[in-house]
This record gives sequence, structure tokens and C-alpha cells, in this order.
Amino acid sequence: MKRRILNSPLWLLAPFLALFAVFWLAPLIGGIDLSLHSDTLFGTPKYVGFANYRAVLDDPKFYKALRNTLTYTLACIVVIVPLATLFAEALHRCWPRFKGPLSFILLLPGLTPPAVLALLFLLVFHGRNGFLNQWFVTPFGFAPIDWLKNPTWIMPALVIQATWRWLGMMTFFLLAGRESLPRPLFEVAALETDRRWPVFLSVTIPLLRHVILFVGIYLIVDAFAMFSGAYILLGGSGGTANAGLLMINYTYQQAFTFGKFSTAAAMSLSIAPLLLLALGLGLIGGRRLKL
Amino acid sequence: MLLSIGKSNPEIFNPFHLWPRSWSLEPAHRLLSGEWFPFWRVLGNSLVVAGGQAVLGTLLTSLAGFAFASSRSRLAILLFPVALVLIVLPVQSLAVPLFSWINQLKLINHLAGVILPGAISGLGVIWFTQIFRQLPPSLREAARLDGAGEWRVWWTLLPVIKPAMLSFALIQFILAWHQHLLPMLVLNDQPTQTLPIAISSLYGSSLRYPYAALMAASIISVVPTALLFALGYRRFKTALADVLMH
Repeated sequence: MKRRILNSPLWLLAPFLALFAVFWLAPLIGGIDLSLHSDTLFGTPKYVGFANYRAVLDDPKFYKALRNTLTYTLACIVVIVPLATLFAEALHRCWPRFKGPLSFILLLPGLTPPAVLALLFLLVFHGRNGFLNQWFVTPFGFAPIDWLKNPTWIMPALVIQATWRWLGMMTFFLLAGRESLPRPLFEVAALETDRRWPVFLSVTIPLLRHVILFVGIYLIVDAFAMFSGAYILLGGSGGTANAGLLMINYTYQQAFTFGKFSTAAAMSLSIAPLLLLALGLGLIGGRRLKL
Repeated sequence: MLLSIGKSNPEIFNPFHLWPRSWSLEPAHRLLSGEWFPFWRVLGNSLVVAGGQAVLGTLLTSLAGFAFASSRSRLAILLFPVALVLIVLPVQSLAVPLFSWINQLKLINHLAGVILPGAISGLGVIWFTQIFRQLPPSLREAARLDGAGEWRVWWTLLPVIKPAMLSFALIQFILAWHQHLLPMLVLNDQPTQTLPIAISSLYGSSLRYPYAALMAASIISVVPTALLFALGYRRFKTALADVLMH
């Protein structure tokens, strides 16, 4: 009996769980503790119960940041997932010699550190002389758009940046899935019809639903954790009228700009149940679809 | 970006000047010689941080994945959701309390303060559980019949899952190379900084530095990940298809 316990595969979990306890569980508990105390720069913090949470829930800026994050996440999915699916199909059909190099070029922005990418985007989005304005806005007779100052355009700018960053990577995921689909299926489909769209919509996409779900979850998690892109583009603030204020950036601002560590901890903890709920719903929805 | 290395500031701000008028490698030179930050040291830090996270993360999560795939016990079923929670609530989302905790552990300005939290990856656990489940159980049984303990079985199976291991290490390396928030908080002293942080602080006071140097640094920051990806491209694609389609 003793030997069986010693030889259980569960011991192999130990190193992982140890690090998990030290660097995830401990900060989580520390964060809960922190969030129940008052913000004091000097002296000992007082126990205040749920006052910090109440302050967070009464803060209009918190809802603004939450709404912005949700908009950003949704926009990323709506823009990137269909585009990436189309790109993957196109790459799959293109001349084999071009496939590798083309997908690699598409991937390059995704391999660039986001902080560096955002620095380059400062040039792209520049209010008057930026690449985007000079090449795509003014030539069509529109007034140049002040991408990073005009509250209407801040969010689109962030989504454009996310698309630029992730399109290649998501295309790559979908391409990997597309290439492993069994060929005979498509040969049968080709016997039925020689139009491409119906095959793409009713054969390829349903077969790729695992990968599409994976890509969607990846984008959701990444969008919720988005920090450096917005941090650098908007100079650490939320931009004009906080139009680009995202959750993580707001927590960062509270903690490290305003020194309110307890409020920041309360804030990060109050979005956690929401995110868990979203993922749970996603997984249940996925199971319903027999994924 | 590549073309901008040789440009002067006004030229970079004019998007119609694609080709620089006169090539000057002087800003790139000043960057490499460490005029603004100890360039080679910082590059080395980045490599250590990303490599450390990749190696440590791959080892730990493959162990965990092996345990989950080969254990039917109730404890394993209870513990598996930990991996899911880790995906949804990654270490980064606990940045503020994590920072104070790392401060208490006296790991501020130590690369370990970034590597250790970065090594726990929920994605990795799920990835390797999936991979080990796909292996024929007879392999495991054979190793066990030879009298090998579980650690030994894991160790002998590693060569079999080499492509999956390399692919995961690659993903982990890229993610670690891109980290911004945690290194920014933990690594305060310039000699301990990682490349993306040093580059973005270079931007800080806009026109004091030639933009060309920034561009040069940016290009260098892409080289390691691009190189690794190019080398592992084919293997990575097959491993991805294996994990995603089953």
C-alpha cells in the first residue's frame, strides 16, 4: 500500500503545484487580504471589510474600463476570426512554394514584442503625418484622423493594432488545422458541386470548429490581459475621455500612478468571477455544439 | 522598419520617404555600444528570462500533463481545473498583489522574479495532458513492466513527445520574450531589464534619441523569435494540428 502511494503519478504534479502555490495562490490570497484593507501610504493599513469593493463598484471609470475591455474583446473576435479563417483557406489553396514564406511574413508582427509593435504604431497612427493618414485617409479626400487623440478613433486604433498583431498567428493556427483535414472529404464535396463557397461554409468551417473555438478563447484571454499596446500608445493614461482605458491598464494606473494598491487589488479581483463566468459559458456552449 | 535604420529623424516622420536618402549606421552603432542602455547585457537578460521560462515551463507542465494523463484518481480530477483557472486568470492579472509578494520574497531586480512566475502555464498542462493521452498506453505499460517508477516512465517517454515539447517550448519562449507588465514592475534597475522594456524607455523622451536607433533595437528584438519560429516552422505546424484537431 505504502509503495503504491509513493509510486503514484500524482507526485509528478508536485513541482508544478509548488510553483503554482507560491506564485499564484499566495499572491491571490495576498491580494484578497490587501483588498480588505485601507490604502495607507504611511502607518499600518486598517481592516475596512468590503469598502474597497464598494468604491470600485461606485466608480464610473471602472465601468468605462470594463465596457471598453468588452468592446475591445468583441471587436477583436469579430474582426480577426473571420479574416483569419479566410486567410487560412486562401493560403491553403495558394501555390505551395509561396505558402511557407507568405504565412511567415504574416506572422512577423505576432513575433514582435507588443511593446515594440506599439512604438512602431505611434508612427502609423500619428495625428497628421502618420502612415495610415497619409496613405489611406487623405488620398480619399478625408481630413486626417487624429487616431490617438480623438475619442471616437482610439478604440478602432487599438483594434487595428490587435488585428495587425494577431491575424498572422491565428491564420497559422487555422492553417495547421486546415491542412490536417482529410483530403477525401473534399474530393467527395468536389463531386457534388464545383462552387467553392458552399464547400467552405458547410464542410471546412464545421470541421474546423475546434480550432475556431481555440482561436476565439485565445483572443478573449489575450484581450482581457491586453496591457502594453494600450499602455504605450496612450502614454499610460486612458487616452482622451478615457476612450482607450482597459481593465489591466486601469488597475496599473490605480496602483502605480495613484498609489492605491488596495483599490487596485479589489479591482482585479472583481473582474475575475466575470472572466470565469465567460469562459464557463463558452465551454458549455462549446459542448452544446458537440465540440 | 529595416529601411529606417539609416534614416534621420525628419525622414522617418515622413511616410512617403520609403528609401533613406543617406545611409548612416551611426545611431545603430551608438545603440550597440551601450550609449543609452547596456545593450548586450539587456539582450542577455531577455534571453535568460525567455529561455528559462521555456525550459522550466516545459519540464514542469510536461510532468503535470503526464500525471493527469496517467492518473485516474479523484484527486487528479479535482486538480485539473487548476489548469483552466490558470488560463483564464494568468499570473499577469494578479500583477499588483504579485508585485508586493515578489517584493516580500526579495526577488525584485532578480531575473528569477520573472522566470519563476512565468513558468506556470495552464496552456502547457492542457497541451501535455492531451499529448500524453494520445500516446498508446502500451508504451507506458511496457516501461512500468520493466520496473520503472513514474518519474522514470515520464523520463523515458520524453523522446517520444519531442516535437510537442519543442513546439510548446517555442510558444513559451515567444510569450516570455513579449512580456511587458511583470518585467517592468520587477526589474527596476537598468542592468537587469529586458529588451522590450529598455526599448520602450528609450522612446520615453521623444526626440532626444535618434529614431533610427529605436528602429535598430526593434529589429533586433524580433530576430530571436523569428529565427526560432522559422527553424521550427514545420514541426510546430504538425504538433499544433495534433493538439488542436483531437
